[in-house]
Amino acid sequence: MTAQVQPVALAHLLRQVPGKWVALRNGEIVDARDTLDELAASLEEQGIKDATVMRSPKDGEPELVGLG
Amino acid sequence: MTDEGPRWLFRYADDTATEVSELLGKPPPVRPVVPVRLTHLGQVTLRAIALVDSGSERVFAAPSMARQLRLDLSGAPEADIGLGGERRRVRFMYVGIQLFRDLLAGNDDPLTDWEADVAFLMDWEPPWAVVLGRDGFFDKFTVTMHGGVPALVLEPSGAFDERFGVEIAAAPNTQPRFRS
Repeated sequence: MTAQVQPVALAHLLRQVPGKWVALRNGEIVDARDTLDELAASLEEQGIKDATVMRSPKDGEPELVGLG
Repeated sequence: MTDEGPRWLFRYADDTATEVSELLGKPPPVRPVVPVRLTHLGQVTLRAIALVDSGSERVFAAPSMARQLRLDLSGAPEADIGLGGERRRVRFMYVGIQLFRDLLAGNDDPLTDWEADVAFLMDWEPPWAVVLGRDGFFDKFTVTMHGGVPALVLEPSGAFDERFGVEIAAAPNTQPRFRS
């Protein structure tokens, strides 16, 4: 039996907001800010607790190894 | 871990840095990631997409994650760690880590949780909010990865020995493998 696994498609979302810290929910961007602190504050103001955050690489940023 | 125990598959996430892949005529890079949240004394961080890094000895977290937990790191053990070609100051705190199922769902319950020494970066904003390394993640699970499959599988720690039919003893200079 073969079960094909595809990666989670995040790159097309992250390219919309290069260099930002991004909050994602249900496959959509709900907020994006310059720093993680700013993003956390903004989400708290909006009462959003069910988003998942990560950083979007800058345009032209090289492929990173680990923490870069 | 037995055959009836939990076995969680996490798909990798694709990466925007495609220059090298295009140069080599290969598909875009993919990253081993899992969604986690840090906890401490009733405080919780945002859920973050964490990089699973078998080359990292420690679990690292961004300075903002410490602020979200309202941690007082002033008296915490501190050290310099080499990251990104620089010496980075970190302070350690024993905090909770919750693991979730879906990268993007956001409202599901944790699959499991545990406690670990987390190295909070003091003055450098890393590209990942959390990096999961050997001490605090890989010593909690049997982590199976295959370069040709864009996914990793987490099983309880004892699955390693059951798979190979022998209990492989911990080296005398390492931390205990099985902790309650």
